[in-house]
Amino acid sequence: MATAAASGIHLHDLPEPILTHIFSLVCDVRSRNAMSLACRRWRTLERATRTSLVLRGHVRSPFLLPTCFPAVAHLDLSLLSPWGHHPFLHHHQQPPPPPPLYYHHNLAEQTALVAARLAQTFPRVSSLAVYARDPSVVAALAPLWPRLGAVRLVRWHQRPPALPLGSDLAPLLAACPALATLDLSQFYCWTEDVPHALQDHPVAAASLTRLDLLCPASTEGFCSSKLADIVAACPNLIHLLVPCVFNPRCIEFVGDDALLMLAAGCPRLSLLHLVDPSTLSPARSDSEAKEDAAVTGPGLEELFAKLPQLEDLALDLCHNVRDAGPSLEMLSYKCPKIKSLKLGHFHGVCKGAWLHLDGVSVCGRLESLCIKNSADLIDSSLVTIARGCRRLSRLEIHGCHKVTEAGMKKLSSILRSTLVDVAISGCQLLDAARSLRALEPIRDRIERLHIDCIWVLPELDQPPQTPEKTADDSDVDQVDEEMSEESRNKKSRYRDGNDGSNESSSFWLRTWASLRCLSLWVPAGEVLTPLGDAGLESCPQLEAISIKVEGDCRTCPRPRQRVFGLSFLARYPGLVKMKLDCGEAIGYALTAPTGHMDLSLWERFYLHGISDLRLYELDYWPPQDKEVNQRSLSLPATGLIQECLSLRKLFIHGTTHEHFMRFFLMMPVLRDVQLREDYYPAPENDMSTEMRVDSCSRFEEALNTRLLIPD
Amino acid sequence: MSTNDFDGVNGVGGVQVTVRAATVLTDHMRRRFVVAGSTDLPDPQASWYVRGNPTRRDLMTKSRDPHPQDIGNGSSVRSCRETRGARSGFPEMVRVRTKAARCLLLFGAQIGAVRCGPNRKLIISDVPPSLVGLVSRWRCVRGGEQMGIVEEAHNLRVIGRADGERGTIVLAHGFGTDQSVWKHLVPHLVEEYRVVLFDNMGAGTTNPDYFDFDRYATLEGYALDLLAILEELRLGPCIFVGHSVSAAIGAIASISRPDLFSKLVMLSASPRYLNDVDYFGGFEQEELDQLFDAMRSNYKAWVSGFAPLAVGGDMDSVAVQEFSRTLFNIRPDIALCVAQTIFQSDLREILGLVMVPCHILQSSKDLAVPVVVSEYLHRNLGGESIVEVMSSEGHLPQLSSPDIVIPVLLRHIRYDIAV
Repeated sequence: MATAAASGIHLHDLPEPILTHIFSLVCDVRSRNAMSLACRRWRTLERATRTSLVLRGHVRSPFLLPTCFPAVAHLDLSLLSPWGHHPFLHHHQQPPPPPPLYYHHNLAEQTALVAARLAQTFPRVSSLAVYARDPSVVAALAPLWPRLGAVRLVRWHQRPPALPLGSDLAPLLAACPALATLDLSQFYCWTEDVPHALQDHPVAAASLTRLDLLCPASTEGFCSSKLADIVAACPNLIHLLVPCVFNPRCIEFVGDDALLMLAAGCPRLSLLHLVDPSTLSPARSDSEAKEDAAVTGPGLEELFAKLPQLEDLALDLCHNVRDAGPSLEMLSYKCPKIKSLKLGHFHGVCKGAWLHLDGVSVCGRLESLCIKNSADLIDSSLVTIARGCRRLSRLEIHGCHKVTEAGMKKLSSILRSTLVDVAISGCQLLDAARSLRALEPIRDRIERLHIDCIWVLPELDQPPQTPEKTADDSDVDQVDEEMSEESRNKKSRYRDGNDGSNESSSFWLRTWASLRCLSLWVPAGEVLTPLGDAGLESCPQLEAISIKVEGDCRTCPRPRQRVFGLSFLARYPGLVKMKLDCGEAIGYALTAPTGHMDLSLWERFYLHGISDLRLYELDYWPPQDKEVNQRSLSLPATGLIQECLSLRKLFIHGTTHEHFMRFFLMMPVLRDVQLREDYYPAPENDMSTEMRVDSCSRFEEALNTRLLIPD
Repeated sequence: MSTNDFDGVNGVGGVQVTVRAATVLTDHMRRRFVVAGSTDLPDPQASWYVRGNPTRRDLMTKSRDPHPQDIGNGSSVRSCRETRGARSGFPEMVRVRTKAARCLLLFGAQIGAVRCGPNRKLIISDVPPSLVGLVSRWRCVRGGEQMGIVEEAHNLRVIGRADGERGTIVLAHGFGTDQSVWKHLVPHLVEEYRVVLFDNMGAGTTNPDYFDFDRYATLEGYALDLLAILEELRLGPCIFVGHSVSAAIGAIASISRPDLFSKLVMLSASPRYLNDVDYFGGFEQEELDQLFDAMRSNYKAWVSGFAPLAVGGDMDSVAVQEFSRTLFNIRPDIALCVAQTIFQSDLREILGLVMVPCHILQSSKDLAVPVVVSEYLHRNLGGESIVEVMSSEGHLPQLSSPDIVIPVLLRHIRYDIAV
């Protein structure tokens, strides 16, 4: 630096194109913001190279749009209207006043004004994301950028029932004939809509190469005739993700014939995800499939033969596919590029009976493998897979009840050089401690991990009948004391029920040296604190944790301790991001019967201790009361979140009252607070009143007018 | 609309603002416009409740709240003139009749003569040149929809049949909830009725700036709000469905304006929550002290800048738990005020003045309102009444067991008491 300064050479001496290129390589938004503050030239360069922009809040006036980003190509407007009001209009959802003609005229005029302003401000948009509660939004925006290549539509509200079929997509397809990517994975619509719109606009449909229809909100799959319509309309598809009706009892179910028709129609597919709609729902459903699907081994073989370009395949069914082994062997011959595979309810994925490789283990190029609910997957299958798929870096097993610790351990020791991402969930013989012990061989290498927080499996360890610690009167603050007591219990349980193989491992602190992302699934009412005893005591690199709580808080037993134990996570020094998803925890809002905890108490249970963490970003899904479709932040939750002083970004996936939001203003470095109602059905406007545009605007204003926020 | 409406415009040359009786007019709003004169025009609607029946006047004098009286008879308007209007010295003339014009006031406009033209169109005349821009900008921003203070402050919504084939229903929620508490009921009503939904002031959805602590120190403040809404909408007599404290509010409102109510449906209502010598309300003073302590500690935390953490589940008394669960949804300072208002309320004296037919619906197991209370109501109400005890549990039965409660509610809405 000193020599450079002495010789008079400066960064600005670089030729402009090189400097521009350097600038364009910076993608972190905060770094870009900092750069633009350096000097005028840097600001000009930064503005000229910024290509993606996300707008949030509300376009109250078209003159508030930022005009300094002319180079933006990816524009995300989907956060402009999380409550389903019109993104450009102030009071769209109010009942129209007496003269309706005047009103509609005004609406159209204002929409056009804002849209024109958007087009003027961002002339080079090629990729757009927008919340489209009704077709008028798309109709206003799509004609502005006729060369749009990629569009993502978002809608968590119900589809207006009176709309004609396909009218949500029609304006888009009509205006953008060159559309290549259409992402409807967050767009709730009927399955009839998509084929209808595609058939009506053959030019746009033919140019589509990527189509994503995996919307978790939709409980309905595409039947074979609709699938055929899509395939006929879009022959050039490369990526296709569709939920399908695999249930053989349904009319027009998807079976071998439909798959072959699909392969014949779109021979260039490289990514194909065909899943049962029920696997998309956020809740975990582990019902045993009793019936067989109409998808058979020979049918799959033919499918693979017709799709030579296939790289990524997901067939996630809820019905059994028998004897899939030979067809999977075929997959490796017919589709040499296959890298990623996901199979649900497949039998005979890999028999592992002899020394030779069979089934999926023949696919030696696989890098990612997910096996769900395979009833006959056993330890030796895993070992065979490990011997065959030597490039495997990601492995997920879910609901494979015959897999034990020994098999996983063997697999991870064989794949020690490549395996960095493992997810083990819903396997009866693998509780948290066993899963972690099974991964012992790759403990220093694994980067991403998911386990279920099932602390002790009742059928394996006979838990000694310790007196149940109900309603302990100790202070909430004495968590540590409780925890140690808890851990003592736990250890004694292990010694009682087990052969003491973990004795050796508990001598030294086991360090997960590379672990960056940890994902945990916790049944409702369980606590987090035994995690250390299970083996996750030390994770120096851990940055992000995502915790999903699922279950019925109404029926689960009262938790053994008074807090969930988030403060336990304070021992991970690098933890900055947390996703706490209680959205599938169900309880009573406002109206708990006598003796039951209502949701505010459950929220306090789960969030207590968050003040001990030095989090930068928090995503929080409040628990819900399904009967009233209420996911609302309660008073104690607000208070506890507010105590986490290091938060800069806070995303609440639910609603809350305005005065609760006001409490967040006390957090010194908070910069970005969003209420996202990204779940289906988002509260309808006429009945959910907790958060309104006006109250949110008031909050945003207060947030932005605070004194300087330290960086 | 009487011809008097336009008289003031050409009058004596001072700014004249008449705000109709029961408009939500808090200090916050009052600050926003300058009142430099008052009208002496007789306005029958403006003075109705001061003229009202003697019992009501007693009530008003008993309360410590100066505002409900002041707004109506114009005394506060006059005092405003003396204190602030003289200083500002606006010579123009404004007479405010319509909701749209009131909205103008909310926007801080002192802008010439505002009146209501045909088809509820807003006419503003005599606008000083310096303010022309303001007015036109306002019109531009607001577009074709002009909301009044009442609509905006209460999140008022009118849905269902526009002609209200079988009448109008007003749904009023209890404390700690908002109009969404009726979400199970509304779909059954919109086919036949015109349905009015609103939020009580202080509910989580309303702007806390509008909460006037003096006005809402007694239930009369809420009753005036309710009357303001009914006045504003001019819908004629309505079926009023009130939950919890809103049922009491509806009863108070019906005393002064029985013509606005065709019947009252009271869900989980109680005239008094505290036990008394010959009355069982469900709460003992010690229990309430515990509640108030928790609220005060919440309030202290809030004042010092921290969100409170206490919730109802921590209380010893199950009845208090039940009640406070909703109460803690309100901002701590407001919650304290609201809790005191509720527990100080005692409607036993005036129950006899309620002449509108009342349908009393009650959960068989409601810890905030014992079943005997519904019997007490039935015996003491002035008009005819009917009691139905439902097999539901809890203080919010329309949320916790809609399957039981909604059919009962619908029955009582559709059918009158047979003699």
